[in-house]
Amino acid sequence: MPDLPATDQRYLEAVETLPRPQLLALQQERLLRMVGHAYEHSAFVRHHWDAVGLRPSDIRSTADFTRLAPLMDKDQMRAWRDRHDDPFCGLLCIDLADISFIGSSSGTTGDPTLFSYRWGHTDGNLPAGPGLPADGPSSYWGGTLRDWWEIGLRPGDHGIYFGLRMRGPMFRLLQSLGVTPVMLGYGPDDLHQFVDLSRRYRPTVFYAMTAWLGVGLQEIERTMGIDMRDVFTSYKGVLFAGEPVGPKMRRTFERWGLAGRIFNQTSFGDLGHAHDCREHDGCHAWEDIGVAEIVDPETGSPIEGNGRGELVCTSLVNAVDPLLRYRGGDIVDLRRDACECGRTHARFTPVGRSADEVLIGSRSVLPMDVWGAIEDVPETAHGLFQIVRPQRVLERLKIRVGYSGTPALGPLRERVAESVHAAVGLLPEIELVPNDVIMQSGSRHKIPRTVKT
Amino acid sequence: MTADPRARGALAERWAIGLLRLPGGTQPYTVSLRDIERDTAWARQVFERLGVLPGLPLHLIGTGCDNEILWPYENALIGMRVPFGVAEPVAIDAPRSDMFLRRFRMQAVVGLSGEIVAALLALGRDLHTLLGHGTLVSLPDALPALRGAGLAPWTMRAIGPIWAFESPVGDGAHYDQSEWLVEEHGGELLLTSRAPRATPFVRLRTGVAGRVELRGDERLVLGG
Repeated sequence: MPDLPATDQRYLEAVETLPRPQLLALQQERLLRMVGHAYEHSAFVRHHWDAVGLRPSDIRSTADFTRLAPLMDKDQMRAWRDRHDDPFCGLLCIDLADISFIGSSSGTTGDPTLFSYRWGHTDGNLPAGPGLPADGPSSYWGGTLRDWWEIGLRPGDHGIYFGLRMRGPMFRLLQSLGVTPVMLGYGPDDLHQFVDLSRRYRPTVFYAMTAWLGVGLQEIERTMGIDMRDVFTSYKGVLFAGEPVGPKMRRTFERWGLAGRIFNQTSFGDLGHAHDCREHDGCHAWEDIGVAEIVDPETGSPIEGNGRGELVCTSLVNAVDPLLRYRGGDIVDLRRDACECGRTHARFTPVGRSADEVLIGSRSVLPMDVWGAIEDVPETAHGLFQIVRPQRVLERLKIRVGYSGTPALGPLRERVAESVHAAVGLLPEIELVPNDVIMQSGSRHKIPRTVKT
Repeated sequence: MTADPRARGALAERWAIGLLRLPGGTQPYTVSLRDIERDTAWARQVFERLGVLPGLPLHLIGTGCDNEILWPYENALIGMRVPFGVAEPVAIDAPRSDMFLRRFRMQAVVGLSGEIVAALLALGRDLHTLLGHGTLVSLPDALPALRGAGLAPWTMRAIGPIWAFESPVGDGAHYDQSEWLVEEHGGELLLTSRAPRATPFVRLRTGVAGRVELRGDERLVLGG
């Protein structure tokens, strides 16, 4: 396997800056191969393509594919799973015995769905981990390696790893870049250890920061007088995953000297991850790994060129359980012009999730619209809140908001409501609960930002 | 494109830094690639003793902050070609274990915690229906509920940074004696590394109550 590039090189792989015509030709070549593979081996894909009378031979180009192939979504996958008693939702293209690792989604909207990986070796210590086959193109985690190299991880570094396991042993990615992971968790002492270990090893990356951990660090700063600028002085990147960083939390991290070094890790349509680069002008959708489209979230009609729409993604190199024209519910602003970083792949900026949007009259409200307003009130500054969304169209905006301490709840309720009113022009109903109640409603990496009741 | 850990001296020596969780607090420790490879070989013996077979799914529950302990077990399963689904041993992640247990016929469930078992019961699950067809390996805090449901789990005892495994008959827990020595002092288990591990321990106070019995050449750990 080829070695890593020289440490002063910005790009991990040449494909990152491939001229766009060549990139699209490579994408099309892989897509046509994937279409045949998925149709032959995935019962789900075959069923849905047969239902519209489509065959792989009808697809001769990427344009044919985006024009003719049906969209798929998680509801269809779950329906297939329940109808056929198939935990893999009809997507698995290889024998169960050939899977190494079965990961799963966060499960915030129902029973978690599965992501399966084939290791490719019988020794997991070899560098070809899940999605990093020794004999093929980078897939699921290949894009993550490129992004982390861009952030500045280099051999010999240390990296803080607050990783959950559901997506797989991602610490192996740090090691694939020659970085020693420092494994931390959610024990009561771990954040204090983080402070000490940051001073001792001077790590270059923190993966993955969350609202929960950010709140804990603020408490350590407040109660122990720790100089967080010193703690974070060596960090080239603090990665938020699961959900983006809120406006006030971002300002806190910037106060700690991390301006320009806060990165968002988001889902590339469940094909893998996408991160912003050091230009911070959108997350790179690696188009040799997937096809990225946007569609109208209501009609599913493709939106040509740049613009806002629901992200639709297609696996190009995942032979295990490929997704074809998968709509994951993420509303994004998509751009296909070259990034200032020199990469030629498309970029997108997450705007919100279609499943999180509420309509009050004709006014659309997404969690990000009220986030900063809630953080601006000192007692609710941790930004722990959930929009109560029994259905998309509501008569009144209702938000459940977490608070810290023992404030007088009546006046606090009024101040939060006024802050949100000033931000979105709607006077919401505010339900106050202790922060812990919100934290316990999701995983420690991801709080559901909307709830049904 | 990627670095082979074996080829990079620093990473081979500093494969990962973990947190040792002891009653008096936590302390960082380093593991080397050599440590991981030896622990993988031990983990494979454990799975063979449990009767784990290739090609059949297994549910492995463990916490991400213990990756340096857990990974050798995952790596052993990769080597044995056993597909495995993972979850964390905390109540908040119980729906994930629940999903795996409802949707797969797991040949074994390893790492069941008291929190997970309580959460499964709170979801209204019948433990025998959910777990009764495979080999179970549970933490000590899950034993009463599992036994109460008529199940006969193995016990997995954490002793500092290692795990020891005791069969359902309760004849003492086995640990990797090529790497470690477990002793007892005043009812507490002490851990000493016998091999050149990246972070050697000498009579580490683990805070775990227990005693050690010598049977033939083997030292077996019994609960306190």
